[in-house]
Amino acid sequence: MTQFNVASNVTDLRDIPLSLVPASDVDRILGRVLPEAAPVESVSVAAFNSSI
Amino acid sequence: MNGPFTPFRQFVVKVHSRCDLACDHCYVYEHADQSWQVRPKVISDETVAWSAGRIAEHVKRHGLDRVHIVLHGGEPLLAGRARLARIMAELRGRLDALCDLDLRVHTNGVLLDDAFLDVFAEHRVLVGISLDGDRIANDRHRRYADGRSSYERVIRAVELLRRRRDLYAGLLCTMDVANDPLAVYRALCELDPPRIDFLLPHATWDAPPPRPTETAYADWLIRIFDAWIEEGARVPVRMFESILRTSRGESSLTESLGLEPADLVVIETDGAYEQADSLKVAFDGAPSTGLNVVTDDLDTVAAHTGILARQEGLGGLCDTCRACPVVESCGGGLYAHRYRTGSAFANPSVYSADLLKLITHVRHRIAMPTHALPYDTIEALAAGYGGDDDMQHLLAGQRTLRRGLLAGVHTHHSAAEGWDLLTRLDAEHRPAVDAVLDHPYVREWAARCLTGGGSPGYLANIAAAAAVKAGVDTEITLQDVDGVFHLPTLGAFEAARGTDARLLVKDERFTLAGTPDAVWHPVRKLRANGFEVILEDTDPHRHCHGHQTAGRLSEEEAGAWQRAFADAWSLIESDHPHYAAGLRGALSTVVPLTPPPVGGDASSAARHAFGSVAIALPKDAATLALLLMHEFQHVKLGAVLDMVDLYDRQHAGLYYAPWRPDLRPLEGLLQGTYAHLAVSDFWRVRRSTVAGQSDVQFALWRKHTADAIESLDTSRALTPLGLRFLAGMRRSAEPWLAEPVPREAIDAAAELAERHRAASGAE
Ligand code: SF4
Repeated sequence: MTQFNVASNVTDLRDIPLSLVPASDVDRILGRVLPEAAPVESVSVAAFNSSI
Repeated sequence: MNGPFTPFRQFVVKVHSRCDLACDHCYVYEHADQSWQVRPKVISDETVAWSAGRIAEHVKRHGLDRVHIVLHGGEPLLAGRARLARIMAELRGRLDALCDLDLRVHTNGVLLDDAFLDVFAEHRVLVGISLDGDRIANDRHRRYADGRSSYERVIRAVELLRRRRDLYAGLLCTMDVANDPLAVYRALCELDPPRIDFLLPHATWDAPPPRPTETAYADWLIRIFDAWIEEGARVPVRMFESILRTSRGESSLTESLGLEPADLVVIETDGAYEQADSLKVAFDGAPSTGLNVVTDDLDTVAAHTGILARQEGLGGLCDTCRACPVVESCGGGLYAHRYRTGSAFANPSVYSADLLKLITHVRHRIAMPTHALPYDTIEALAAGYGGDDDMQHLLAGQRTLRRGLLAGVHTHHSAAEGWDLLTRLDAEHRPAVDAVLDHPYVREWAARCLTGGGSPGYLANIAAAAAVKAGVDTEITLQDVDGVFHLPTLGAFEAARGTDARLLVKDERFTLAGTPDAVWHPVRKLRANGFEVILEDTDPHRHCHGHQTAGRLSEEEAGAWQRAFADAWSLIESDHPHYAAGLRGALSTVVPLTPPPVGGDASSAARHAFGSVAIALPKDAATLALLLMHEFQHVKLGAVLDMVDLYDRQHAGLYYAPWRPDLRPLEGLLQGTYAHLAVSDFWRVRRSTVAGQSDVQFALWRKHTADAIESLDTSRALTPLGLRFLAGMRRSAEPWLAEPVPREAIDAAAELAERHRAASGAE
């Protein structure tokens, strides 16, 4: 079977809202084009969310 | 006693066991567990001291670096300001020195006033407010015992919080599918919360939720999710973020989804430890552990069978859930919602059908493909060319990279204002944002920030430029970089000492608020036959080309550039149409360099600045054409290498390059060879117009290029795709070796080559 595409490991972020770009994708991009950059830290958030 | 258990990191401290509202969906008073009736109304100072001590002991024993405590009720504000202040002081006093304490209060808001907020500010406590949406939605359940609406008072409380944003944690909305989902969502968004939580009403298989259709809750949430995505996810919604995160293997942000072990314990007003509060819906006494802060430490609580049962991840779920395709995101839903008399918690959630539908919808909606380069594009580029379609593939990849890098920069504190505006514009004016982010030096700036240099605050300038392009009125503080307030793609204000950095954008016009007469340098464009590029002499991030960049050009200098560019472009289009197509598709910017003091030409491309080349204006248009073609080869190949691997990035060998005095790493040799493929082609064609010197140049560069292709081939460091790329380059270069060239030109070229090799010291 003929292969028509060479896949990259870069997720297509063009249609992902900027505010939703996953940290894992940022890390992968840094690894590809800026390996010297420190990985970006993600923030942990409290999980409890019961209403009053 | 030690493990095997997960230490607690979340503590819910019940400070008051009664409420001033009588919401009919409340799990504390309206469900199976009625233990509130026998508890003290308010937590005593002694119980607080014991609780704080137990938590501190737990933090020390397990080396916890961060814990979360939520003051809860009933309605916690009924405890009064003075008592709350004592509780917070006690918790901070015992824990601040040991760990990072995230302290919050969840309130219905009706009593909240500035005096309470002063107390919360003093003790650094964030406030979350329960609000079920617009007035109709809220009043459906959240009423006083006498039936009065709580809406006005809650909105007033939220308005107070909006004015003290650093205390505002977010809004918690309990769903009712009778409400209009979009009206609820918009009403909440209008209050500008830092986060929204949508909560499924508490229910079990014994007491199922009201359900007009089988998946009414999923359908309700999907309406909101779709709007949320379409509007750019402006306000974080914890449930949606958790599904997205867990779908790609990251942790959940909420106890009600995902497979993380429960790490939460409740401390009641009498000091009793209880399991998750939500268990109150299951049966009377369900959350009870029989343990108390005075007599038992938290390790004892953690070893309680009820707590352990919620820490088993996948292993703790029923067979149906374990086999479920969305189990990593769902985790069986909230533990309490699985309850059924007889089988207890060994069931899927009573919301299972909703969770399956919602999670599947989210995953499909956000299925994230990766970039791919068609083989045809690889072949066209390998030959040295690449047309508009091929450039579109490269541009697509670059747009992703810029967005990804930008998302990396935004975590810098000084980028906050710019990020806020940019994400808003991204949701509503994407083409304007794309137009600015496509500017080559945005990536150069982001790369600097991410490697410890650069000014993250420049994100405000990027956002401001997008606002101008989008025609959105705004006001934002610009970042001065190298003495200018630069607006990418638009130009720069000179930032003289004392210049006010506040930019006003109104009706697509913009000025510096305090310095309306600040000197503005608009970008200029070079135009030729319907093709236009920016002549970039204002962007402070253009100094990345390894050559001295020119300062702001005079009108005369800009005019000389325009004339040379028009002639060079005409030559490229007529003589090198295969290169013209790619240039037209992706060259967006030319940066003028200062001519080298020793004479000769200077030109450069920078890996992070896709779409730009830097050139010192040469003496004639033909040389400008050559330099544009040469540098654009680097631009194209750099973009390919950004996406796929053509060589082993670990390979450390150094190689002789006929165009450099020094030995080059493999990527340098590959880049140079690819550029000189175009250089050879340029001289090959040029011979028909200007013989003599063109023959020598063609003879020289075709030989060098062919030799370098062989060096690359023998490096053993190219990937299969790299070998395929190299084969494409060879297919272009090889026939040129057979083209007739006068003997004298070949001799002259050989002599030049030999001189270079000798000077470089290569064997
Ligand atoms: S969707 Fe239903 S079956 Fe699947 S994990 Fe969730 S509760 Fe269990």
